[in-house]
Amino acid sequence: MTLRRFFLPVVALLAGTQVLAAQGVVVAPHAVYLDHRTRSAAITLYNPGAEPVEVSISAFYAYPVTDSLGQFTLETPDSVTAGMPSAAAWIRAFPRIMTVPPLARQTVRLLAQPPAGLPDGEYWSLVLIAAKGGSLPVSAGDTAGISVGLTLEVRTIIPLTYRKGAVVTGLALSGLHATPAGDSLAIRVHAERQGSAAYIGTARGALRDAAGKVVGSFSEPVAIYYQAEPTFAIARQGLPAGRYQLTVEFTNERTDLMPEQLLKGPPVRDSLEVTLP
Amino acid sequence: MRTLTRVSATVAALLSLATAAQAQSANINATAVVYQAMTVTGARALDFGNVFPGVAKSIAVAAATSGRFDLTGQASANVNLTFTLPTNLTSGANNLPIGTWTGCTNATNTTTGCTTFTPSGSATASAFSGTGNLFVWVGGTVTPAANQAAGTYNGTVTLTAAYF
Repeated sequence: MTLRRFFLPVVALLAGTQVLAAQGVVVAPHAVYLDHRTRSAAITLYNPGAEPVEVSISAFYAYPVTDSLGQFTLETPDSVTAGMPSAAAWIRAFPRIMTVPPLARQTVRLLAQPPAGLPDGEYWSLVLIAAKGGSLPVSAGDTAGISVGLTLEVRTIIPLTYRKGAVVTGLALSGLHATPAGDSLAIRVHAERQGSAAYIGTARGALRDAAGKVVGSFSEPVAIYYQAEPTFAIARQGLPAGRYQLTVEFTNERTDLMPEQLLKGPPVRDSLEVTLP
Repeated sequence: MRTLTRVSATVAALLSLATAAQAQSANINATAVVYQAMTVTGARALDFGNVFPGVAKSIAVAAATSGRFDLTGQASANVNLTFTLPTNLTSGANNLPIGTWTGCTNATNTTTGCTTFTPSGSATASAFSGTGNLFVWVGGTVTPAANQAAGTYNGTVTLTAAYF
């Protein structure tokens, strides 16, 4: 018998943590992947609080894009049309509504029931985990007066990907540019997904001086579903004026996701000479 | 690191039992991969305390009674913050208007040097720190009417955190 790998969500190991005077749930993993063969996956919830938490699970279709500032945001279509690769309508959560006791775990099974004849490809959804716990303490009011307090509720959204058949991904970079912005160097690059699947990976950048020494860098997880023009920042405080070499690289690596869930492709790089004033 | 140790210990114990149950010894390989979970918690209620009829009261994000959400996730990962905010707080059938929301985010649990934003139903782009933390504070203003009925007024602020 060969036990090749245990995947243990970190929530399974939080049972020893102290009870928190807070409300919400721990969710793992960060992203859910299903394939047409197994059509199922699981997420684990953990309640670190002192009171039971009511949790509901739902799915909807949206995908990340970048706004005019290069920040990632969700694009949620007004309606889902036939041409959109949405899996939201055929993803079912079991259980869908539950109460998670204090310091307890709950496994939620996600099952896909795709329509017959679903073409090969990658389909997307987001999973929304809404957690509603007991009221957080507010100051005791004067019973003869007016007292006011608001409790907090939380919802967590994680991506879900369903794959059928062979899918490939890649990335094409263009328009790399860098602009001083305050004490940072703002770096933007247009990234256009290639192939039939979203590009999930990490963007890394390095700024080198004339001697080739790295004087600044960044590393950020990225998710390019169609195209995006994300902004990255490298601190330029203390850097003398002069010429620098900026390199940007995208790879299909994510430290928060299992490697076997990520589609592999060659690293994509671009570079630029930058003059700092 | 502590959790990783616990995983190893648990796996080792399980493997010891499995080995003891067999007549012949055998070697197996076991590895455990522990991934960072995502946590979004309401850590502190937004508490206006006592207010007076006809006198508006504001709670700033830096106040000790501002609302606070604590988030943990993948280091440097992008996250969108969207709020569902009440326009009125209620006490039975009575309403108390609330608005002028203020917000602030920071990588550490202090409002000093935090990044301000206006909480709303539109997404605010943010990111986890290099250590995977993000703290979000919320303040606001209540405006009791001159004839505001006495009572305890409650409401709910909902934060939706979207991870990509």
